[in-house]
Amino acid sequence: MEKKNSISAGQLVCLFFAAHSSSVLTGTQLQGAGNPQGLLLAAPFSLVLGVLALLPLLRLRVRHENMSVPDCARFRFSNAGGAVFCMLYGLYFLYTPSLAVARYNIYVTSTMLPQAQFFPLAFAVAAAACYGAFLGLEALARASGFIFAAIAAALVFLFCALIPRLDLLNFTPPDSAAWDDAARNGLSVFSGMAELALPAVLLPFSRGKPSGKFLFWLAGEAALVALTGFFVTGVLGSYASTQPFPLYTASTFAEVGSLQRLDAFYAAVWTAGLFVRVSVFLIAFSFCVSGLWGEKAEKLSLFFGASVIFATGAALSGFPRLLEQLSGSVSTAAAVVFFTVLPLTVLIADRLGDHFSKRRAAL
Amino acid sequence: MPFLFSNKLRAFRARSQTPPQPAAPRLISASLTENLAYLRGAFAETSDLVVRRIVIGGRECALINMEGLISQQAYAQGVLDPIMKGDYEGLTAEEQFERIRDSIVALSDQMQLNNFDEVFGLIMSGFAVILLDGVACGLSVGMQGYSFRSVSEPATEAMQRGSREGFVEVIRINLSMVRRRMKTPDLRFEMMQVGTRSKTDVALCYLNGVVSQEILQKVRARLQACPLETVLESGYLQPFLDDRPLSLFTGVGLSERPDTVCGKITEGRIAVFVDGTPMVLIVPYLFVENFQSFDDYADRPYFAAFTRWMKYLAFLIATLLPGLFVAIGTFHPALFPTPMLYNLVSSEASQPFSLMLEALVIHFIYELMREAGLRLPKPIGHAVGIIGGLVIGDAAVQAGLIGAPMIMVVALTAMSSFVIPQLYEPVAVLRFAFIVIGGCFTFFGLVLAFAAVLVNLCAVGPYGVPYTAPLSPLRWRSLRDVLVRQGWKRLGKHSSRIQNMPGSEERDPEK
Repeated sequence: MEKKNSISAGQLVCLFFAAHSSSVLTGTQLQGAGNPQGLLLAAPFSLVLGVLALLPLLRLRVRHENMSVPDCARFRFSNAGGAVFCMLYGLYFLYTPSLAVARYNIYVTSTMLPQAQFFPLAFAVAAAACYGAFLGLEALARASGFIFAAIAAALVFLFCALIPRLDLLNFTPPDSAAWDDAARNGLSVFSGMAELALPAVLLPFSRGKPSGKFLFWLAGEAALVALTGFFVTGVLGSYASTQPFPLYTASTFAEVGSLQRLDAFYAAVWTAGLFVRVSVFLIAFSFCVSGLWGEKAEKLSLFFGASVIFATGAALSGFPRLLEQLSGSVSTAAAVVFFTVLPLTVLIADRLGDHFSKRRAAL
Repeated sequence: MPFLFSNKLRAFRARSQTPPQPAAPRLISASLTENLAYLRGAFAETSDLVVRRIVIGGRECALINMEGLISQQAYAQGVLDPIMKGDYEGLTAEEQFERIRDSIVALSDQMQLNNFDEVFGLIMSGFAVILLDGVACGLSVGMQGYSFRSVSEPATEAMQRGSREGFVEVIRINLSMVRRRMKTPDLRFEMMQVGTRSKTDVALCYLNGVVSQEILQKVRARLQACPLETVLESGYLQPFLDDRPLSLFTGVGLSERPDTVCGKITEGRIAVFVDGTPMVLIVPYLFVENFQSFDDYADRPYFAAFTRWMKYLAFLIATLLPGLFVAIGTFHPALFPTPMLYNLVSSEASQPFSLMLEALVIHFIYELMREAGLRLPKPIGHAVGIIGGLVIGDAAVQAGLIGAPMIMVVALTAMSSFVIPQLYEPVAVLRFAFIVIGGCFTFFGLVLAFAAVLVNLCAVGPYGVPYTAPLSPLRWRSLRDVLVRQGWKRLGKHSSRIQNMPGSEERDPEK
């Protein structure tokens, strides 16, 4: 993977934040969390998990600044090893946006547009994201700066509009099982942050020192999760656990003056987040494909990837149970493998390789 | 047969890839008869070539010019009269030529010519050329006297305060207007000719020491490689200077005002003047500059900031409002406040068309009227506006063809698009696209399309400078003249250069 363009670490973090915002709306972190109040405790736990997951990647960055994880794997294992890593990451970069599109389809058809059909909706998302990805990482990163600002403004506005609706009686003191719940919910939030896998491929394309920026991002995400939990619990109480999209339900309560239905505006802003998410995963996928078949395949792979996301996303929308399973235990397992295990494996192999080569040189 | 075809194809490609070699220019001969024969042959039967043959000091001399391009008074008093009255006794042909050149002709703009390419170029630029029998060179004398529009206030960039001067069609006058404002030897004008047939004068204008040499080199190379035969307007060159000519947005700016051009070159940009047009191209150009005007720097800062935010809002209204109205009205009417929803429903209930079709038709009519108003003489153009705005709009509502809210939306959109005239082209196209997308793919499709347009906008990077800088990539310090306009006491402290914008590929090594 030759480094063709570069973005700043700050832009990369904006990109990740904007991409992850769509899952805030569709409530990935709330799924399986039971009472959303548990998210208040789960947020710091997810922050710790996120930091731990990024450590091997950041260490690899220090050792090989211009190499992605598949590049390092190729360097340490062999061409075949690199190809396996490219293939594994490539599949994960198609799997995650497919789930996101499916979840978004279900969200739109079950809340705002019951008459909408899955296929046109999935097609619109995939086509727009394919175009966004086609214009390249730099353009997408710059655009995500604007989208990040819009999302942040929308969130602040939403939370401000929800303050009058908060009822402190909805909060209950944590019981003895609260800490177990916090750990479980923290893992759930952690596995929902699929963007943690992206630095494995995109980090060489960023300039500057990313550690501080990533910490800022993870802290921001944790704060967002905590705030979401706080407002959803405060506004909806136990009613939240019966809602498929609790934050959306809470947003329907927000009103400012004569504007009584602001939920569509939030949904619109988060749709832009979904666009960023699918686009950035497509770009990461195309980088993996170029690692396998060369740069000529890079642009073509975008169309292929978008087609797969469209087809899988639209098909999965019709099977909400399967989608729930995939978003649950399968995603958690995938998260552990792709966020931590694979980078850690490469890091250990790299250190051992260095160690043995030094010993050989000494002998 | 296939191999024959492939050979032919290869030969054709080889031919098309070999650049045509320019023929060597013909030198001026010592024989005047021969020279005039060649000149007449080259110009064939053109009626505006004026050749005046006279005899001075017993030797034949020819004065050549193009009719209408020179000042007759300067020609008679500065060239013809002194040459005729000169004393050439006992001089050889060369000595006679030197005397004419050094002592007799009393005009400052003179040049000795050796070949006919130079002769053709200069006589068609308002010079007179003197050829003397027995001398293998000529003398050109500048005496441009063609008629041109006088300097007046630019129609496209009117200002409340500041200068009333706008560029004209003559490149030399335009350059002098810039020079008058920038009294520094660092101001450079680089002349070149573009257009293999028209040989249009083009000038690059920049501040040496401020401009990025890499950007300057790229601009120079692109203009020199321009393959056009004829260049009649700066718009001909715009696609050659643009990095992404197929994008909706352009990284090449336009201005008709000398003060604006001076401001831009002070920031390291390059202005491209083209003879025959008052519109000057500016590269690289950023998106935020479409929202700035020279008045901003004359107004009080708080008012300039207010105007700027109004323009940003106008851009969003002009682009998105009709599409949003169609999408919300068609798919999410509950988003409207209840009283507004009642009005809308009562208005639209009697309409025969869908909201999307209504919006498309009324915008199409509006664009028709705008185009008609532009091309017609001004008094008739105004009449078209009145007929379109009052008669057609009112009649359409009365006849129940178009809803009154839609007329309001169109009027607001049209007004907003006039606030940012530089962006009219992309805004007009996007508006139609968003109406269709909003009507077919709902509110969500509209957002996806807008996000895609945003990426398109961000993909433009003229000469390595991000088009959306300094907003994204963000630099807080540069926002002092973007989101707000700080006072001159603060603005004057830091000089910003275009090549130092965040995310730029070409950075000033000093920075």
